[in-house]
Amino acid sequence: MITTDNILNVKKPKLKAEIIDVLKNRFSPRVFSDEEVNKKDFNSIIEAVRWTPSSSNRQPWFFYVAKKGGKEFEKVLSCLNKDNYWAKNASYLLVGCYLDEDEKGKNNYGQYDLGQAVMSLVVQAQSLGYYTHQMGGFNKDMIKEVLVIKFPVFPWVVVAIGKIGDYSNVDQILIDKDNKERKRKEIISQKI
Amino acid sequence: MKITTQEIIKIRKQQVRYPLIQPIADRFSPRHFSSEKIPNKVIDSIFEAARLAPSGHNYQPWFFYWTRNTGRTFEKIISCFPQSNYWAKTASVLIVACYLPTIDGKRDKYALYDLGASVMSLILQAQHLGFYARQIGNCDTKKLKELLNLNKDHKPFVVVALGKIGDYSKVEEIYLKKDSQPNIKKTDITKNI
Ligand SMILES: Cc1cc2nc3c(=O)[nH]c(=O)nc-3n(C[C@H](O)[C@H](O)[C@H](O)COP(=O)(O)O)c2cc1C
Ligand SMILES: Cc1cc2nc3c(=O)[nH]c(=O)nc-3n(C[C@H](O)[C@H](O)[C@H](O)COP(=O)(O)O)c2cc1C
Repeated sequence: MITTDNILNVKKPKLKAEIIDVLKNRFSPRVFSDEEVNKKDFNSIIEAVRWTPSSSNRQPWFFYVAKKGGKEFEKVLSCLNKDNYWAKNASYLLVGCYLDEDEKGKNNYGQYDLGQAVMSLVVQAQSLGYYTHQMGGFNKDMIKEVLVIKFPVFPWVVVAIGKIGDYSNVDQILIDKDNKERKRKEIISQKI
Repeated sequence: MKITTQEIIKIRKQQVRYPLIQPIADRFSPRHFSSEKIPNKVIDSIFEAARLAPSGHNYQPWFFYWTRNTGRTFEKIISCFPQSNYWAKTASVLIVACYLPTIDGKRDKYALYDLGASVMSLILQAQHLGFYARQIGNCDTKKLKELLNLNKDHKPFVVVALGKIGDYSKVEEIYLKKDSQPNIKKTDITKNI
């Protein structure tokens, strides 16, 4: 039988250099517990987004926040690809959007800056003991329609947030997917 | 006008509303660095942080070229900037952050997004170790690619200037003016649904 501890162990990266715990411990699980994210922690998680750097400080991001049990949670779920069904157990689903345009005109850094913002959020969440799992696998046209998201706002990721769940009693398919190490390229930098 | 580095740091982060972990709470983008050498160990840590970032399909569509402020390469990178980014001359290290637009001949839609996440990880790791970063998008990337002979599959997107924060009592007036203003952050970035 696979337990959550087994998974946490498998996900421990083999490090080439020391990094902060939140980055070391972070991974994207497919099993979340029923436990809620408390309001105070959630405020900090969103605050982390606010302090993300962005090109010309344009802050081209916006998040729709669906809480489990809330009105639109099911609607967000219904836009996800089938293999992302595990997201139903997350405490929150955030629909992360970039703003393709603002009063200064077209923004070529929208996606990049949203990526930074979500990483900040993920790190802050991890530091408070929550896990996150991002998803690009969802129907973007459908979510625009369902949530009435209009230009220049573009839904780009759905972020599941919650406490990690108990792996000892979940679908084998989730265990097969998550009981794997975090593989990475060996070389990603070069001195010139 | 005379302001200390400590005062600049305070001004830049005065609107924090909820508790944040240290590197996020401390981080901002200065235009003045101390030029002192960044130890190899720190360089290793920041790229390790970048390497472990999450990405769509785990494609990891990023690559980083970097140089210290001691050689010709540094000058070459600076020469691709408009004058408004000459503050970067005081940085200790410049990192050319590239995205990989395609994987196995197919376009990776999330390449820019994922590069953003990877750079953010790198910067938070640096900040944790006491080093500041300021990113530069305003750069002649075509010239950069030629001058540095980058791999053709790597598209330079931003340059990250990195170093210890400088002594603001000795900074040029224009940078002091710019850096001693609070950077206004939006308050309305979510909608509950
Ligand atoms: C993608 C990107 C491009 C940027 N380009 C420049 C630039 O060319 N010159 C510059 O001085 N600052 C640049 N910046 C720094 C931003 O202006 C800065 O991050 C923003 O004003 C927010 O300030 P903070 O990082 O101190 O919170 C850039 C930042 C990002 C994220
Ligand atoms: C932009 C983006 C889109 C993603 N889309 C999905 C998805 O639709 N379904 C899924 O299960 N995981 C998704 N992931 C998670 C990645 O597969 C995961 O981050 C990557 O494999 C690295 O694993 P780690 O986060 O555990 O280190 C996505 C991640 C990112 C950053």
